[in-house]
Amino acid sequence: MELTRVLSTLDWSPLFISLKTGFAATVIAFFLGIGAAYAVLKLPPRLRAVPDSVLTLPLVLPPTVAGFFLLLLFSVRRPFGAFLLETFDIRIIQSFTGCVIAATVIAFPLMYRNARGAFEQVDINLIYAGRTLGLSEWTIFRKIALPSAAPGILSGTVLTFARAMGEYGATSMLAGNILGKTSTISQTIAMVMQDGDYGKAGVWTAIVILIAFVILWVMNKVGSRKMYQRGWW
Amino acid sequence: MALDISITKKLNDFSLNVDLHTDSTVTGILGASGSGKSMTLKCIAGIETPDSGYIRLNGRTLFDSAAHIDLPARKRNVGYLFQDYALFPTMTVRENIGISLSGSGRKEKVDRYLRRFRLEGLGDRYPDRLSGGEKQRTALARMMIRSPEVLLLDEPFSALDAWLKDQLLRDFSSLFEEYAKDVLIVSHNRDELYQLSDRLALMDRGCFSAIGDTKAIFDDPRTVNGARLTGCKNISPVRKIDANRYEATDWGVTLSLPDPPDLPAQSVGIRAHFLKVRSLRPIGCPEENTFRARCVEHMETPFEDIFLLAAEGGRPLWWKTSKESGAQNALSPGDLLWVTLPPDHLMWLKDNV
Repeated sequence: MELTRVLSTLDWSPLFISLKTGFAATVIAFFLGIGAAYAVLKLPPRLRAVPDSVLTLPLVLPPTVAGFFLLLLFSVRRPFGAFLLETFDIRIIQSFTGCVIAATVIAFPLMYRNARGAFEQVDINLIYAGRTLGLSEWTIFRKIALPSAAPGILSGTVLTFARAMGEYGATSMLAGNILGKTSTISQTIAMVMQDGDYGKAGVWTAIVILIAFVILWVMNKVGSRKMYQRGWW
Repeated sequence: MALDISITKKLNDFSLNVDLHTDSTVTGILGASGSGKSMTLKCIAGIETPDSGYIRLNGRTLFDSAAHIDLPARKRNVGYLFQDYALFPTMTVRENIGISLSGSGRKEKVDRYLRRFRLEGLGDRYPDRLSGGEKQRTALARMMIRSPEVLLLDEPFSALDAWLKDQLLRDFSSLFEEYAKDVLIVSHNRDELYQLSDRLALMDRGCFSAIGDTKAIFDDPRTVNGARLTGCKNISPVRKIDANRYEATDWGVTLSLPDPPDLPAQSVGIRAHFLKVRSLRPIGCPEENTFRARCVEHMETPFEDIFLLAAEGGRPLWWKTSKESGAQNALSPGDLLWVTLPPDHLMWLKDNV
């Protein structure tokens, strides 16, 4: 059987690299995205446009353009990449760190925009009420803004994870496709298809679709409003 | 205990220009929506920043544009009751009330306030499972537990139904008595403010058009807009004929006065309850300000009859009378009547501030 042949010889490392990349990028984008969203909303409205565009850019640009900029920064033949390598012995290109950085940059706007939208939905009077009750801005963020925005932030997190896990363009440029090190599912599918190996590509595709369904199921769960009243957090 | 305010702030199509000095009193601010009432409260609370002026509370300067003082809202210690109560939806009643407390004794204090505001048994509920009155009591408890130095209430009854409102008005009166510090209530409802406030300020496009003892303001609202805010139905421009006579041009009626108003009146008003209406001409000496009018329309509220009465060629006046009086049976549209406008009930009004 074709299927048993593929499964018995399959190297599972791309699955784990994809999951690891997805989780790492999501954790980083989660904190940066929420922080950036809250900071931008604190700016006067007329000053918001510039940071807002810059932070959203990776979502609109082709991933290869992001890859170009990342190589410009991290290539060991460029000043900053060379500096990292010589001074700290850190090598971003052709490494798992490169996978995570590429996925984070590409997925970050999803986290940022969803968090921003969720914060914008929070009734401004709740924030004002917190202030007149003598609460510090940090307490207001932690106890009022964040819990009220939680459903939107969570669905943003899930989307971020999905995008980070499936990243291809920028990842292949920055991290390359090294089996067992930087070879993610997306890159593996592209690679095996070049050899016309429909069996292997099909198995990986099935795995991706399965993960996608799990993600959609989680999104529907967390996206429903008023979860906090069911004691989820 | 005193609140001293003198601020200006440019708003979209007019400027807020507020001077207010209170001294341990309940002050009502009556104004149409969008007149700047809520903005005034927000400036005091530190939610909005005035362009210039000062705000002092019990000797503390909260804001002073000349001295560059602008205390953040959290340091002002004012109690603000939001129109929709702004309860934190992700917290229970107990968590809402206790959010501003920390340290030991917190639970006991919250328990005490739950009892004081009749919220026992509701402590673990979330706000969306509370009735309107329970929400309001939760918001009050959350505000009062910090012992604020002034209470700012923004349309406290607009979200409640009429029956509940009447019950709560009494609760508020006793709350204010106990509190004994300055209270500012903003509303567009004259009945609420008449019941609750010692002093009343009428707001019109960002300015106070009249301010004083509540009853005195209802007797003499000073401006056309003030008369409307306090519920006066009959207002007409006037033209001076001679020292003792004015013509109310809208109504087509000449008013003669034993002592004419000392200000240059531009309009006159009379409340719909104060018209005297008879079907026969008064016997004896002809009464002042009596004219012949035709009943043009009849309307009803549960306990009152409302008739619109027009003099020949004039716009109709509103007359409200209790259903007990039986006027409904005696009067129908088309009837001719004698209407008297008693001089002591005429209010002389300026058109603007």
